[in-house]
Amino acid sequence: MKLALGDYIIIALVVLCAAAIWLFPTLKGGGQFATISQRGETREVSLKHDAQISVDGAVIEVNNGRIRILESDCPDKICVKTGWISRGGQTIACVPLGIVITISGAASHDAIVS
Amino acid sequence: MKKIILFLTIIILFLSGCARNTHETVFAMDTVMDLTLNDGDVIDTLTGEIARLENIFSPTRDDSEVSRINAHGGADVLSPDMQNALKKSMGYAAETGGAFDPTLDPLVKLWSHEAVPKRADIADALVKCGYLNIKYDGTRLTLPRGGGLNLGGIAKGYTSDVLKKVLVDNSIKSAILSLGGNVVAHGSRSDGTPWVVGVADPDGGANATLGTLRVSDKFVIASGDYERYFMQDGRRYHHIIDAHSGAPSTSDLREAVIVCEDGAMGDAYSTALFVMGSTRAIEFWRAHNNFEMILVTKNHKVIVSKGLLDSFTLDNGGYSYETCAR
Repeated sequence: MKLALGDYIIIALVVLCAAAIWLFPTLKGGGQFATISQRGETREVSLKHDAQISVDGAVIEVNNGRIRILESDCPDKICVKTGWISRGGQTIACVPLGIVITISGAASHDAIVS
Repeated sequence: MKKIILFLTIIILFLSGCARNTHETVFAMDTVMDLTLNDGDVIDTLTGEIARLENIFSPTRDDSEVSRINAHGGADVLSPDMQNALKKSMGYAAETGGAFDPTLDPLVKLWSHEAVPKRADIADALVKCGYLNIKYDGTRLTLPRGGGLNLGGIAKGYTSDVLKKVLVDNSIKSAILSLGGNVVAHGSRSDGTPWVVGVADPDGGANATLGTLRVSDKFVIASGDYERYFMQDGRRYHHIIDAHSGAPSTSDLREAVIVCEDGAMGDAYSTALFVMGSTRAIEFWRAHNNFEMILVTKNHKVIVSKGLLDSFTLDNGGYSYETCAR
């Protein structure tokens, strides 16, 4: 069986698609973006630009490639005590306010026992 | 030719579809739960079970079963899950000499205001606590006057057992669940290698780790002083109450991690060992063969029980490493 040029093109496209699907989360992530979600609403912020972001009940700070919850109206302040995160897969959560911040990219662990 | 394209298409579908896990974040039991597995319907079943059990064990919801029991000083009929959890709790309380105790609600409430309570109030609450002071015959439960159940030291572990059963019943081969840091490592990763579970570093934030555990089909559960606490006069007051003093435990430990095959037991033991301190914890481990442990002391020593030597790696230079054998 001889392959025509068209066949090679199709094979190349298919392989490229597979590679893109694999690499997409890594390309997109790499610790440069964080997803902030609160009660079903989600937004993505770049960690390249320093900023203070107000959400319902809390202020989130982006500084020098890191992100943290700077201030929070919640009673226990566990979220504020979590401090800065900067690496892929790291998270900050505020249970009373329903906030989860996750840095995109592959995590070094499947879970953290704490 | 068509066969080649078909083959490649199948590979693409496999890589992009099957290998990608579904992830769900749930706020429940006063914490964040992360459920990761490759079956959306089973995730729905898991979140349903979490909500159902929260309605039984939540100390903050007035309409939960435990709140109703506490309001009425007991109950004539308990739900099957409450019976089961209470039975287990009483067993672990006896076994640990009260280092784990499910009856400390008056003390937990007293210490929940981010300030050190008055000595007299602690003494007053202490009298209402203690697992030996409740009457439970398997059906009917009677609490001492002013007493209350608080299953915070076992509810998440008990829930993790229920969720594990859902995974097994649905023939799920690979899943990892974190119930606010209580980890259910079910099966192995989809590529067959063990799950990689980071062990929290008490000195770091919630995302810092001091080492890594590689485990398959295990519950990994920790108790520590570093997540829930308040500071007063330069001292740290964490949330795990020692039933003997009526105050946050003051043992030499900052963290106790249990690796075992029973979530409720792991939860109760991690609390108990944290309260006991390293010397008593090691004795307790030697007297049992149903769990392994990692203890982190205040002077930065990590004590690892012998059964974990192959699965635990310390990767934080700020800690020294020690093993304990039977």
